[in-house]
Amino acid sequence: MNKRGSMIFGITIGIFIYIMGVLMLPFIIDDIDTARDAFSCSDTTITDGNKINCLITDLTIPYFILFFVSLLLGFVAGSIK
Amino acid sequence: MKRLFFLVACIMILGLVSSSVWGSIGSGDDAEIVLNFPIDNNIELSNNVLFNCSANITGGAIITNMSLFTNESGIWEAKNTTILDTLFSNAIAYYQLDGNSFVDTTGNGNTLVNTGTTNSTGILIDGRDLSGSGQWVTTPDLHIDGASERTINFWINLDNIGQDGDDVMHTASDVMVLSPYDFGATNWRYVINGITPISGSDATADVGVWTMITMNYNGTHANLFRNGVNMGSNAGTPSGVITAFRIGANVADVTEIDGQIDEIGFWNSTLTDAELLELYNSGNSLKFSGSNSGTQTWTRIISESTLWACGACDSDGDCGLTATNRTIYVDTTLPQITVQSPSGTTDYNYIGGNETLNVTFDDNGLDMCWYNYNGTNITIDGCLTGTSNSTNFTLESDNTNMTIYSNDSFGNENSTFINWTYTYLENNRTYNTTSYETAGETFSINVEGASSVTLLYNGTSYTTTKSGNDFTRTLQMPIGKLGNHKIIFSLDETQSSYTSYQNVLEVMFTLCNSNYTTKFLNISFKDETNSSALTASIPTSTFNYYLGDGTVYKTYTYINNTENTNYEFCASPNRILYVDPYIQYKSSGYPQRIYDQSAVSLSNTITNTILYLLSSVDGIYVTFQVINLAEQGIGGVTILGTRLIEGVTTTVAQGITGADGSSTFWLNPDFAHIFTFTKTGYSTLNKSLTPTQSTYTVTLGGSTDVGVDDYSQGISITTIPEGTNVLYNTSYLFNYTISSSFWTIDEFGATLKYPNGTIINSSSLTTNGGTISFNFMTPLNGSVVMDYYYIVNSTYTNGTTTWKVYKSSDYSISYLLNHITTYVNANLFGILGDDDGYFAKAIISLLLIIMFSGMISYRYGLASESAVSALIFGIVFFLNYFNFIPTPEGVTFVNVGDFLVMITALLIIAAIFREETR
Repeated sequence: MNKRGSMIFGITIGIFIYIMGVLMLPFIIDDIDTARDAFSCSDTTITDGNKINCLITDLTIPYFILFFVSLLLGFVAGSIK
Repeated sequence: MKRLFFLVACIMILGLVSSSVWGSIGSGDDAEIVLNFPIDNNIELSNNVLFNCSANITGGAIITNMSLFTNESGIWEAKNTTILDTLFSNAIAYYQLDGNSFVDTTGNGNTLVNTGTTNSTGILIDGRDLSGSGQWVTTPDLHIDGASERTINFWINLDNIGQDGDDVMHTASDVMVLSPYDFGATNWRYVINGITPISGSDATADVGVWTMITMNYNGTHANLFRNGVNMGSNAGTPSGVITAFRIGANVADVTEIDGQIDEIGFWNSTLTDAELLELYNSGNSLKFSGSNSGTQTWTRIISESTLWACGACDSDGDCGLTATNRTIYVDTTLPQITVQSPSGTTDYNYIGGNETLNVTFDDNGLDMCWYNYNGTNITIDGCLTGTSNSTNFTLESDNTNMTIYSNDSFGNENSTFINWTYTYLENNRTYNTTSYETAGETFSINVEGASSVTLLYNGTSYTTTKSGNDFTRTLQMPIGKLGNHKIIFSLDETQSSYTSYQNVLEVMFTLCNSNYTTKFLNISFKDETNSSALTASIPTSTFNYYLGDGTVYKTYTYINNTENTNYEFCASPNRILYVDPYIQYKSSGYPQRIYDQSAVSLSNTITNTILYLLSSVDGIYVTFQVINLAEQGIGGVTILGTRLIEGVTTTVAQGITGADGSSTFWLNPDFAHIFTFTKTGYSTLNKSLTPTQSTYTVTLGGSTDVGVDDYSQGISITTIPEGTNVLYNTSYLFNYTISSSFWTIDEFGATLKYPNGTIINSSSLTTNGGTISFNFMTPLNGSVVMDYYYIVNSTYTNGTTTWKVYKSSDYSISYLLNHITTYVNANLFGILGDDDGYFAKAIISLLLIIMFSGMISYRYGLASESAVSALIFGIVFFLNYFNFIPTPEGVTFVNVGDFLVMITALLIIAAIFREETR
């Protein structure tokens, strides 16, 4: 496989992984909702520890997306080299 | 033949018997009671039934009462009883002594035996004259025992008193005596055995006067009455028995009185005082009125069908009923109500208009008809006289139904509910009933059912604008068409509404005179140089004035070549009037100027306008040559020159360039002026200059002119919310704030709208800066646009701010940030400051440790774990010494600061140990 083919293959794999990751988001969302309910995140009188847990839970999706974007970019960058 | 007569006689007897059965007459009387009406089996239309019966008694007795009997409740009862007589019917004997007759009028047959008396004039018709010698009358059949009640009443007219012992009445054994002579006194004296004699000391026995004398015993007392008035009363129990009364003489020794007697009555009861006065009849004596026949009518409310009969009683105490009875039936049929109109769907009507109710009532005994409309009962007049009735009522809002009632005389009530609709129902129309020329008048109608409405105003059609059921059209009243104008709305071009009228009056603006005295505008003149008052003439002036939007206006031209100090203009009507003036004015030694202001609103609060003139010696003629970029003269450019006079920006030059692009003004070269050059299609040019030259060239449409003012100088504009994004479905306060440190802002405003141009809200202010706010809930998506502007020196400057509406996901970074904000606001880790600053200290400590150790390590290349640990230990020790390391609330078993110092010390030891053993 020449360099161009390798680049296209890498981009394709990266996009595929990214799409697969995005498709998993709905399953994660349910868990996030469950966690928020468990921590009573909508209640501002919960303990500070629970509040931190809530904030970390809120970060899950952004981290998840960032992770797959990084993977996508990683595959793209790797294929260009 | 004899047989035929016998047969007829038998039939007559049978007929008499069948109609004259008298149930229990026991004293030989016969009676006939006839049921007159209602007829048998009659159907009564009213429950107020009239009953009529007749009774006839033969045999001497009189009728005392008659009664109506019904069996309404299943039991025969006397329901109505009429007492025919109680006074004479209770008499046991009564002698009228008329016509030389001694008959007992009561029919009881108690004879009166005459001894020598002669017929004479009595108190009523005839009486008996007693000469005083062997003349009297006797009642041999009357019998009164012992202590039984009694009343004896008669009239007497004494010819003389006589002597002691001359008694008017004297029974055997002195049981009952009446004498006009009381042992020497001429007073009446009444004696009953067993009771102290009653001497009427006040009861003078008068001579030559008819006197009614009454003697009684009421069971406890004996009483003597003269002319119905009690003359004396004594208690006791009578003794002895009276077997006969002799009137006119002593029954024993035959001593007689001289006089006349009349109307002698005997009762075995006690007559009341009222009855005695009734007998006395104001000195005229009551005529015996008993009758043996009579007809009675009773009115009785009957609620159901029933049998009825009549009964009667006579003076003998006998009573009887008719042997037959009759039946009456009551009306049970409800009145029939048939409504012709309104019903179904009618073409058109309007709230407040008349609606006609046509209804037919059918009943044999109709009593009342009415209808209930909106809770009010209204009687339908004339429903009793005609079967079909038409009445008008006023149509009310949201009320197109009514109930119509009718009842008959018997109380049967019927009702019917009706409702109706209209193809077009006009709820209301609004317009001014009085208007004026040039005024803007809005005509609106709220009508249900119409898809289009055309306004017919004075015969001319105008389309309307529809909004729901409201149709609106605004017209500018033409000039010269005064008086009443018809207003009709054509609904879907198929139905016309009712006609109303608007009276259009004249609008007038003129120099004040005797007809127009309400002052609106006062124009006076001053010298521009020293502000001294001037007189001036007006070679010509034109005022375009109007009340509406100005598309229709009237023009007033005024010329006065005589110089005056001021000119007062009046107007009618007394309301806001817009006037667009054009005035050429001048004075001696002052060149002419033009005042050409845009339309101003005037009212009866007089507007004082000062027009300035500049003397011939103080000014110069300045010509402005307006050209375009191609250096061609521009005609029709409006030039406005102003300058400050007494602190007020005052117009001192107004004119329009000619075809060559020039226009000349008489200006003061000693002062700075601001000139504005305006023409459609060209950028407005503001130029500030002191007109010392005779000619200035101004270029419109170019940008090289240095005289253009920067109207953004010193202007500060702020729009809120900050940024360009707003959260969806959230209430925001959209602010437009403007301030100026250089120019005076004449007006500013803002319009909040959607990107498609739909205006959400709009506002403007005429203050020198300020804030305009709109509270608005953002939409679900799209954008929100605020167009704002400000005006300085008639220069319009605008701008736009657009906010993008975004929707936050529950899993986005925005949500995380909002959550952090929420927690921080809820004092996460005591961040709001109620923790003695521990949170802040902790943050600072962390920053110091990271920054200090990082910087030292980076700067000096410290790579040794022991060195870094020592550095951290030093910082921690330092921070702990100054109490910067907090101990969290609830941690009581250890001081965190000390604990960290020991931990970092142990880390140093461990690091050194590790390096040494590596």
